[in-house]
Amino acid sequence: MSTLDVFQMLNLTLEGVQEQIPQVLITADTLASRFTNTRATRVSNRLFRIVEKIANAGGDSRYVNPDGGAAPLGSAPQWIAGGVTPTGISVATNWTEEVALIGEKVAGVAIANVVNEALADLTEMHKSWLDIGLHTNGTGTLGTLAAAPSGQVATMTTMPFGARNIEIGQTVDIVNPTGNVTRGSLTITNKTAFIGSQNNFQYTGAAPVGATTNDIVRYGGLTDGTPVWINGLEYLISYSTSGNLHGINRATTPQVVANGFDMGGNPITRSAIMLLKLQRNARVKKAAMKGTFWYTMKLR
Amino acid sequence: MNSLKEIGYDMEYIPLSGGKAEGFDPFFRGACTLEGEMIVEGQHADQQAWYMIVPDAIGRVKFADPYWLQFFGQRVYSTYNSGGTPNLQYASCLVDFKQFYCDNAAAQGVITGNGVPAGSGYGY
Repeated sequence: MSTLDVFQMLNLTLEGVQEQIPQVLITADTLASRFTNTRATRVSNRLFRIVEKIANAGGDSRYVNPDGGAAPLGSAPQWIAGGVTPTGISVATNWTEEVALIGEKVAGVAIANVVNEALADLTEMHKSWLDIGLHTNGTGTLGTLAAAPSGQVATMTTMPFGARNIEIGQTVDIVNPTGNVTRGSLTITNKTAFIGSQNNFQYTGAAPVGATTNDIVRYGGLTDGTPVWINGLEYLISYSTSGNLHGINRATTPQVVANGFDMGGNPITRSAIMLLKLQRNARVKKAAMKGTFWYTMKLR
Repeated sequence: MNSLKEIGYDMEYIPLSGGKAEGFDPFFRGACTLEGEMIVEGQHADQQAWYMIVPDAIGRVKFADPYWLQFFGQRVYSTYNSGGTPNLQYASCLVDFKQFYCDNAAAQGVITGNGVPAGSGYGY
């Protein structure tokens, strides 16, 4: 006698799978999309010159004695110039022949058209990477390590970006901040980017020798020493008086220094916002403020 | 953004119809502005910064518009083994060569080092 239990009918049962696949991830082009209508110029590999006028002719104004006094020569207009040249972003994917064969949305085969979806992802991720780039300091820094990687986990400094601006599947360079020298690379297999808790990422393979606290987690493929990637807000809009903006010295040319200040860890206030507006209003013409918007993260 | 709204919470006047709190919602609905200027919230944004941005002062240079790399006229290309024969593996790559610049930093601003509002438990 045999009993008809579940084991007996094992070869007859089917495995169900949901066909609706939620996206438990973020991609965003909020900031990048704000700049899609700004000026775009096609250039060569030569430095594209950015010219700004910082003084009108007639800055030298003086009393002229009509009773035989000397006529003035006056002063000349003044311009400054910096330069930029394009850098690169790439997004790529790969698949095997077998994936192409079975990755078709066909009953009993697969629930998604894998290759088509992967290629469509690239378009979305390109926008997202551009957006991430616009939040960097121009050297490809995506975050920093809070401790030496250990046990396939790398803890990241939570402020200001934590692990939000790295992506699963990405191979990042782990960089010694002294001299911006790459120690090696890590491929990210997952990440924890909760707001309000310690951020980290999981990686595969061995951690680069010497990787330690404060090491830079850098966008892959950049050159050591003076890495150059997308100029983000941290570089473009800075009240620092050290360094340069597009090659123009911030210390000696205040026109390339943005307005701003540090709240020292205090929450934003009306007074602070007003001060920033007043700082700006005292420096440029009203026409130069057209289209102003405020940009922040929800948390603050 | 959260801190700004905290200011608003302190200032708001809540009419309680008939003395009842039915319908009371302690959070904001709709978009906040600052003197009429839009506030944009980004998921990739710096947690500690408030930027004041004039988009007209941000420009771009590019070698070309974003495009798919092509090999032998194809956007999808094979990988090759060390012997030079193609693998049954394929790849595709979208590239974008560009850079952003700011030609009026004096029109822009940023408040850095912002903390979380009072009442938030986390020091992040």
